[in-house]
Amino acid sequence: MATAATTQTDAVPEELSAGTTFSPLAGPALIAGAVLLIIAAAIGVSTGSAAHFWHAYLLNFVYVASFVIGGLFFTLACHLFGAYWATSIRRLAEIVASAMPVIILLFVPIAVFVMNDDTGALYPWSDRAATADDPVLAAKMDYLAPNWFVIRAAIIFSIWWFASRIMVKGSLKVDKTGSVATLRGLARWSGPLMALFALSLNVAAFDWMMSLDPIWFSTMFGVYYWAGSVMGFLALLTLMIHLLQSRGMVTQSVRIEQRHDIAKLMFAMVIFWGYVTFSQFMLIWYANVPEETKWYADRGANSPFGISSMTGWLFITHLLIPFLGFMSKRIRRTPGLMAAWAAYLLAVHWYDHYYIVMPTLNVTYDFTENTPGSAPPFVLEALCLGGMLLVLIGAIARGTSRKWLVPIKDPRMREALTYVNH
Amino acid sequence: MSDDANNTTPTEPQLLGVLAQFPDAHDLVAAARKTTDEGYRKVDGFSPFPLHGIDEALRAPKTILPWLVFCGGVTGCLVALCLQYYVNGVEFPFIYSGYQFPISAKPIFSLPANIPVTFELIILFSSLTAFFGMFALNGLPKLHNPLFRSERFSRVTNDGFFLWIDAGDDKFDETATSDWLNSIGATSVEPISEVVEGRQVPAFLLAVGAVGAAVALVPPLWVAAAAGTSTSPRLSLWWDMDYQAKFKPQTTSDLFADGRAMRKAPAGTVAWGSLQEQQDQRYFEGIEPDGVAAHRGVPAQFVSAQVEGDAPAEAPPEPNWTKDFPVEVTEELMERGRERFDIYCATCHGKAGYGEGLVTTRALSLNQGTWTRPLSLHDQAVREQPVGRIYNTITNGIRKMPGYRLQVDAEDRWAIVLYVRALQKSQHASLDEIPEELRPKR
Repeated sequence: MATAATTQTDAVPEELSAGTTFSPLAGPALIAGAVLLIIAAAIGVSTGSAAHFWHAYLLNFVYVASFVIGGLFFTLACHLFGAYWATSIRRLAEIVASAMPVIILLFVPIAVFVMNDDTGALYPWSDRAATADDPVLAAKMDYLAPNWFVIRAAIIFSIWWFASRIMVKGSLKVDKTGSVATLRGLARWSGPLMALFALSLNVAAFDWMMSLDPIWFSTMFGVYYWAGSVMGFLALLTLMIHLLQSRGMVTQSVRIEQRHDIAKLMFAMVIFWGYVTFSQFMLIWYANVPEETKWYADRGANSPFGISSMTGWLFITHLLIPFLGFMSKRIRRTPGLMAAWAAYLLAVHWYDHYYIVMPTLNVTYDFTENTPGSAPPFVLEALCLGGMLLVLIGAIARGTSRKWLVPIKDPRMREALTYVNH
Repeated sequence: MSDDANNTTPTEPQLLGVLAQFPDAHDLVAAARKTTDEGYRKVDGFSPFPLHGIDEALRAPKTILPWLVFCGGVTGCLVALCLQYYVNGVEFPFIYSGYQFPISAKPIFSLPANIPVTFELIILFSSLTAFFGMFALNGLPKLHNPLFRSERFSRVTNDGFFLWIDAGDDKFDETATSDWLNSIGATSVEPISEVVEGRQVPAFLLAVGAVGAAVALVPPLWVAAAAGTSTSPRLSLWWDMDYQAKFKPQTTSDLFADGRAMRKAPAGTVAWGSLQEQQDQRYFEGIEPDGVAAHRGVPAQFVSAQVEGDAPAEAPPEPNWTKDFPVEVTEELMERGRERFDIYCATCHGKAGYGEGLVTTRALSLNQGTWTRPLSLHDQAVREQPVGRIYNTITNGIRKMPGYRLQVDAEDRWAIVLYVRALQKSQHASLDEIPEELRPKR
């Protein structure tokens, strides 16, 4: 692709080309990201806080992965629904989705660690000897086996990688041919791929995050992660468009109407996230079954109104504030304000993952001696966050290289460039 | 126009505005833009289909509906929270108060439990505000519009494009405005006046309406009368629900030959949940299966039937009580029996079983003549009873002692029997029955 498109680079007008501006950033960003992650690992090991490091690593891995997952979902959804309004922003989603190989690479350390870990430092169930005695866990041990965990991850990533390859390659092909037949093919693929995507996303959420507390379970958890991911991706997309447009790119193809629609969709996902998260919380809170309530007890849901707790703050910052914040159409049509709200949502999206992953670090199970080490608070988290974000930015920058930033020959572009919101 | 206001006839039509027709949609949008640029503000456009850009051209004010919906949502939120707080969090000793009724051991007013209702009411109030607010802002319902009197205007649902300038506009002047519309390309301009003709509603319809309204008052008045606090028999709205044709229990009936309203169970019927009890007689009744089967389960109605005869009913023969435990005798079971005994039996029988429980002691100190002092469990007679009989006593009661089958399940009743045996043993064991190592050292 890179070589084939070389001649095309000259034909890409400044308004649509990002390759020359951003792709030189890819190498340095990837290297800097890797260095930061290695520093974090070194600090974690040297201070005896391996468990802390692995939690911080996983936290930021799922955070960064959520954007790529969201990008893949958005691409699939565009084809599935035949969404003409989104035609001019679909390429940006495809660029994010094509960072999938980097996400898979980032998962490899986790897989290797889980295969070789028998202390339960990250997942308590990887301490096989100690968990065998627990009757609740013993029943789940066949599923939560390290080998099987890695195999499942491999299947999940195969599906995602395959889906993103199909969608991106097909879309790039249309850039040259403008073939409606290819687009129809993508639309046909998008249905089954969406079904596989939904199933695999649930398994991923259960495996990577829910099994941190292997006693706890919630069938809503996959939907919860999905809702947050799509919201996070839309926030990232808003920021990407803002950055590109402030450099004079995609100013004509991505209009205020598209940005308004993204903001509307983001608003919907904020509410949907709140709906799902609260539904999950309320059922567990009401039934008060010990093995379910424990998860929320670990996250400080004990106060009567829940406001002084992590859970309460999550509801306020992740639902109430943005809900009231960009409810107004005027704010949604003001690019600067929406960029600020997107940045805010990216921050609370991180807090959402912190809320899911980190509390299990401080839970001492009866069957492990899994205590955090002496690493200073938030240093490992910050280093891993910086590292992962740099890796993601590097992957996205690399994805912009030698591509049109809009699917120029997609027949739906005409409608995308003319429709009006009412 | 008359120069004297008093002489104005009521049929004088009042000018409402002018209606101008334009050849097509583009002309209409262009004309609308020109008109608002010219300074007219009370302008409206009509077309067979929605037109892009017409809102901007007409300088239509931004609708306030979103704000109304927002206020509706906030109201719904507050109403839901206050209502739930009031009905569940506040209790006053007067009418129409709430209940302080704790649910699932949650706080009386706990926010998470109230969120679903709050959520629903926010949506309900918002959507109703949006629906009715849209009606109100559009001036609906409107039975007639003076524009419909224009022959030309009927084409607006087909191929007519119209611009309307209201007479209430500051710049409005019939002649000047008509000239202006002609100058920007209107194909026709006509003034529209208020409708003043029409027929009166016939008087008899008013009478019918009045009677109908009076009749409509009857049901609510009836309900009010029926719901009062009068001591006279209440008015019945639904006779067939208040007085149903049915037989009450323990009454007679001509319907059946035996004159009873209630029917006997057919032979061999097993009541719900009692199949097990029918099958394991030793466990559930303490009787050997080969014992006196006829004794078992003599229903009260047959006993009374026997009493009617001349000869007094013979005392039923003593059943063949089971002599050993139908459950596995373990140390654990006896501990369970001790616990149950202390809970259910010790209040009367005393912890040691001598019939000196707290209730008995108190009753005797008050000289309660009706109190039957419970038998000491260490009496010769009780000690010689087979376990089945003791079990039966616990299950069905004896003399003044009620049966405990509803409070204590079968397994626990056997546990109590086992503990009673242990109690008896503790007071009547001989020295050689005590293991060597537990005997007191001399």
